[in-house]
Amino acid sequence: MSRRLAANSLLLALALVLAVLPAKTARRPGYGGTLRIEIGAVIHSLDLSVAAVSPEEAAAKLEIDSLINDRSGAPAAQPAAGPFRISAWEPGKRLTLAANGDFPKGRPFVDAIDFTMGKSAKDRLLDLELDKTDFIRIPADQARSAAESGVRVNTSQPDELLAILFATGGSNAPSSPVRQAIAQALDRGAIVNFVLQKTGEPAGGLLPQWSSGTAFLFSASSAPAGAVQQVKEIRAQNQPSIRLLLGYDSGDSVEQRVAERIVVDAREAGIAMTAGPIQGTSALGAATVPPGFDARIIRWRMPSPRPDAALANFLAAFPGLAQAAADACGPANSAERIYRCERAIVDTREIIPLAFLPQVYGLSARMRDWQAPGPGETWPLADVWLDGAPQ
Amino acid sequence: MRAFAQAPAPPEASAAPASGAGGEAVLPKEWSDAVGTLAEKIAIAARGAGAVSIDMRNISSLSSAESSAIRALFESRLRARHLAIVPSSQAGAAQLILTLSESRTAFVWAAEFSGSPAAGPNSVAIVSVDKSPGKPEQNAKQHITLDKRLVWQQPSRFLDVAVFDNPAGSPSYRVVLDPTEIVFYESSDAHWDKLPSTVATLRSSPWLRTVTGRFDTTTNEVWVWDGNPNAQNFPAVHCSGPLDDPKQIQCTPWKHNVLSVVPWWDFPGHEGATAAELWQTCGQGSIVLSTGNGDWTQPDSIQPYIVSESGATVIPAGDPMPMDGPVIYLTRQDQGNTARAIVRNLATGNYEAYIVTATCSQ
Repeated sequence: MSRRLAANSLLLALALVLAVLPAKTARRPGYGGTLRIEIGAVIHSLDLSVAAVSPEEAAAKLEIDSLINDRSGAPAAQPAAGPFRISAWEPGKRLTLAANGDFPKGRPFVDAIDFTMGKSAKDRLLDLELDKTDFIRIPADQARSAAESGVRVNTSQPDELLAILFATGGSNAPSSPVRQAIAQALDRGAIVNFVLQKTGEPAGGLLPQWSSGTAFLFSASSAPAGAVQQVKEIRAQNQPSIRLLLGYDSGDSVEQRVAERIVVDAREAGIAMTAGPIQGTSALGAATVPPGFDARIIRWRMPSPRPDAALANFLAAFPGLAQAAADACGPANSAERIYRCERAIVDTREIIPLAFLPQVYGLSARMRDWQAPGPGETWPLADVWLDGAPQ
Repeated sequence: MRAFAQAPAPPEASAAPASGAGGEAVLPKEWSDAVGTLAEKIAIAARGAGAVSIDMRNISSLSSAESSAIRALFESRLRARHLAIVPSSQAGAAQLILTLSESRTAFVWAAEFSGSPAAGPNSVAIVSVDKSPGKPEQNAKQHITLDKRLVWQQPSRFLDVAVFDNPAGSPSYRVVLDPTEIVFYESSDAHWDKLPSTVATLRSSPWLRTVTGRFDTTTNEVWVWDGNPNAQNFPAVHCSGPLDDPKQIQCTPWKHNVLSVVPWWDFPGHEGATAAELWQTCGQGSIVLSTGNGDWTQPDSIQPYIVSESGATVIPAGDPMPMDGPVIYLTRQDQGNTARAIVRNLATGNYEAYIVTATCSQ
């Protein structure tokens, strides 16, 4: 037999190969079409140096910037042109991007992206179901119900920490025993199962298991009896009532619902906790508990899948915690040193991890080859193509 | 850059436990070293304990055989440090929980120790070892066994890689075909250094995202196709010149409107499987490797087939070999029973090149 089959014979053979493979729905990528995206943020300036009014707007601006600027070069260098160009811009309302045919890494598959701004989560979901949009963000607590109603839901690995950050240093800052009591009172299982509708994982440490491999060493279980006992001991030490105000981002329904659940747990332990909204959290910064509040809910999204890089970013973002755990948090690149730093931070009780959240996306049926970006990555919309788009 | 020569690849090192002469499992050296380090840390923490009981749990993807081998070695190393291992029911013994965990890129093994006055109540020792890319998949029970060897990985996309492995003591080389250039790397101690010379694969207009390309090391040619739907089988760029000498490689746009080289074992895009017919045969048939035909968001696998001489009979001839992501390109090597597969690892995001070896057993 010849070492190489005749081309016609092989083509026949390969056709048969395909015939015995399971049927798949995937098709070859095609060019063309307009990708429709709805976002909640209302963006008035695409300039990253102009401060955003909410974390949602800040995140959306970064995503859009990654589409029109290629910042993969040297950090100090001017960005190169990205895979898309701005073709129409109505600040606060609508943005249309056109594919950049000269993009060195390859022309995007879609011809254009059309952003509509200021859409509530409810309206975004409704429009996706009515095929008025192709791509939306879905709040984590609505992911399950959306999937059950037939929405095509795509979920990333859990890469965002939801936690309580306490005020420290002031005369009225919650004491260590009080923070300890709250940590024991928390029912993280209830937060994940009921508030977040099983979208996410209980968090005892700062990094998820898939990244560090040591998250299992941090307990995420509750000890309500221990919390009650702790509160009794605090009261016995001339502090008859413990009153705390827990803040949450006024524009974040997930934070609000989680805060309200924490209030329930704290009250059952005998702590008079209330929850209230914080305005302008974006300008405030993640590491600051505003005056009048004893604690706040914070979100911290990992900038890298690598545990050492992620932890370094955390320490930079929360300098107060880094200082409190400085002895254990030197340059850390071994699993043990990373664990010891995490442990030292968590043991301060100045932050109490609650849950790791994934990023949740809703996709239209025609949107293909979408892959949820990992930590530090942006939406890979240049790789996405639309099934049935005109070629 | 001086020219380099290709030598036969060294024997593959297995990362999974093999059977030792006495029936005792033998772990890869990196694993054994890590277990030894963990035992040493625990022995120090357990000073004065005298005896420990060990409970183990495996929450990683390691097999029960692998986890048992790790436990056996761990106990052996503790005994060598004069710690007695006793059943967990024995009163007075220090309690040790050995957990085999993993992260995205590493196996993480932790021993939580309590019971020693010197150790403190929650002493934890942790070691980690990188997950070996060469960990063999399950063996085929039929006619063709597939094995894979990671030969290159990088965060950015690349189209193909040429492998020049030399015996220990001499540098090895990788020539990587990126969408826009050919890049050369040298390694002498398991660390790859980028060489200064590169060769641009010039094209008058930007590449499309469906660009593919391949090296032919026997003819010293490089072909790049941009996947243009209107000219699917026509190369866009052709390079020629010895691949071990960047200065002699010349790339020019391919202007001939003829099918000079037709990648007929390749199905561009993902509407169908990508297949590669190997040079070596198995019995009376050809060996054809085929990917699945999912899109690029799904893990893929490579399935060996035996295709009869006439092409009329196609027989799955072994177990499919799972890959860590979509196989975005598959081509035969220029000789023998091997193919090259380019994979986008969905766990790490890296693009990886594997040499896939098909072993025919009759």
